[in-house]
Amino acid sequence: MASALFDARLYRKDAAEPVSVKVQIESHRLRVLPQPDSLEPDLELDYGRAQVELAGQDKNRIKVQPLDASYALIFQEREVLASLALYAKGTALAKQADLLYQKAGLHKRGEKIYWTKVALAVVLISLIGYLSFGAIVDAAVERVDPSMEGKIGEFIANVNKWQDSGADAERVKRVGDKLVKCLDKPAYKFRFFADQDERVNAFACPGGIIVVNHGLLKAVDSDDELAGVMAHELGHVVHRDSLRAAVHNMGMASLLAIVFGGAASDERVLALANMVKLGEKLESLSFSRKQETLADLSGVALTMKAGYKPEAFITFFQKLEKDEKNGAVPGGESGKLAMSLLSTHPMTSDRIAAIRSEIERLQKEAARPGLH
Amino acid sequence: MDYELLHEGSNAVLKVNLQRGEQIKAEAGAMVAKTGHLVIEGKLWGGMVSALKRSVLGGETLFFQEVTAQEGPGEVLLAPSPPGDVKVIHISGGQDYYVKNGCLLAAMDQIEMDTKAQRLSAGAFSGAGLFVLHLKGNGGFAVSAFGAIMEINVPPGEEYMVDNGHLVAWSGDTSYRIVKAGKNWMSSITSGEGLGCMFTGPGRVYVQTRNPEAFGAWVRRFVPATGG
Repeated sequence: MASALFDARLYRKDAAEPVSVKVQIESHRLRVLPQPDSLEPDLELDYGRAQVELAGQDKNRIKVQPLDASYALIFQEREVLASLALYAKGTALAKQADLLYQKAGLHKRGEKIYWTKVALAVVLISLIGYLSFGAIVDAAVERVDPSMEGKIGEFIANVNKWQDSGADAERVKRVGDKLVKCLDKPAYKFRFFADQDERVNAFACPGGIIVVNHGLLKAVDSDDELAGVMAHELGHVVHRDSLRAAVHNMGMASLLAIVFGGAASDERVLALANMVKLGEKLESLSFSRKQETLADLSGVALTMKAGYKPEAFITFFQKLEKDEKNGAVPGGESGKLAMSLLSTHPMTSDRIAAIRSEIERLQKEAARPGLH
Repeated sequence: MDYELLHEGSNAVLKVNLQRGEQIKAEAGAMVAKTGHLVIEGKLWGGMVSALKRSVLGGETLFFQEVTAQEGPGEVLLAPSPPGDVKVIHISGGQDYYVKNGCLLAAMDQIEMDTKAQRLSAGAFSGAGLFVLHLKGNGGFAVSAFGAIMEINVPPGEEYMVDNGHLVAWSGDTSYRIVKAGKNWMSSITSGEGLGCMFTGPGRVYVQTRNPEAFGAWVRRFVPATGG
């Protein structure tokens, strides 16, 4: 009684290449039949001196070899195990073959379960990463020293063609310097620029760079209005909102590099600045409602300290909104031009109420004798 | 189709002579020269999904080039980018091989390829990456490496350890597990060997005599840290 012929590869200890053979499983032994044109002699392996195990990286093939491992047979058909279990019945080899037969069947399913677990783990890690993104951004921002942030700002200022001289720049600088003087121990060296852009906008870059567009300078009726907008932008710098927003856009890898790699060297500054520049259009950095409110409140306090009228900030935005509705801004420009500032700083009624109550609070505080 | 290796060693070139109607697949950018009328086409070998898997997950090129002798016989010369050896591996009778991504230079005859995911431990620590190329069929394929390529036969009943980072290709009949190179963790670290791949025979392993990552780190020691 013998099984059908199985294909196998025969590896001999002293041969470099395996040879293809046919194997027949008989009741007491396993018979190896080389190819008809081969010079290999027939081999017989008694079950008493044979061992069987799964082989290959995926454990998807069967290895049968004598106890002294002088050669090995590699099968790719799982049915070999069933035949061994049947024909070698009663031997340790049959028992082992039967166990492996079941294991090989389970292997395929196990593989699926394994990769499902891996996929689930990846999804879970991504989810945790997504949910803790804000915390990682904050941790990364904490690691950036203000002096390094200043270097990033300097880099950005150098690659942009903003004006630091001329009538517009002089006006921005005059108002800006007056505001900065009222800041309590500023960590940044503030620099003020004007841009020829006709859009009504002003923005802050990391490290204390404040840029005011020509469009905004035309739109303001007084230095009070200009100071209101600039004090608000100064607030974003002091609260590190500009840096946070830029870092937010840099991607997880860069964030982790800052968090774990330290952030001190000049190359890192350059690389960071490049990423900030690439990752974000600085004019359209958008901040959360909370960040806007905090910038409003610190802006109000600063304009008051510097002697400007704090209400001008609200009235300027209300004027812009009115002009936008009418389809025009001062100077006859298209109403759409006002959108830049309004789109990044929508003046909601909540914001107006919060600013008004802050103004009142500060005015009351100032009126009370002996408080400052 | 016949092929031969020229300038074996660090400047190896694979020369393939194609008969009319025959074709080979080669790594993108591997062609050095060819007979004028041979036609080259970029192909997504193994289909879009397999090619994307290979490219996105394995870091291999998305396209392979197919060189075909449509109008008559001709020859093509192929070489890898890094200085290193090229070896041709022949398979038949159901044999298969796993090849580290980036180490397959060309596939001749009736060779099929797909991408296989290794288990996470092997993917993370073998130096071969999570995804490796799986080649089967009948014929030859050429692997390239950094430095020389050594062929190691692992006989039945024996084990052989290869330092991670030196793996190029291994036969499907063998298997490996990740092991500490030293007797314990301390000696693994202090010996500078760290982890290795312990192969179980029977089977064959091809190793590169230089580790590209280690070479990169060595070169970086001589590159000034700051410009100017």
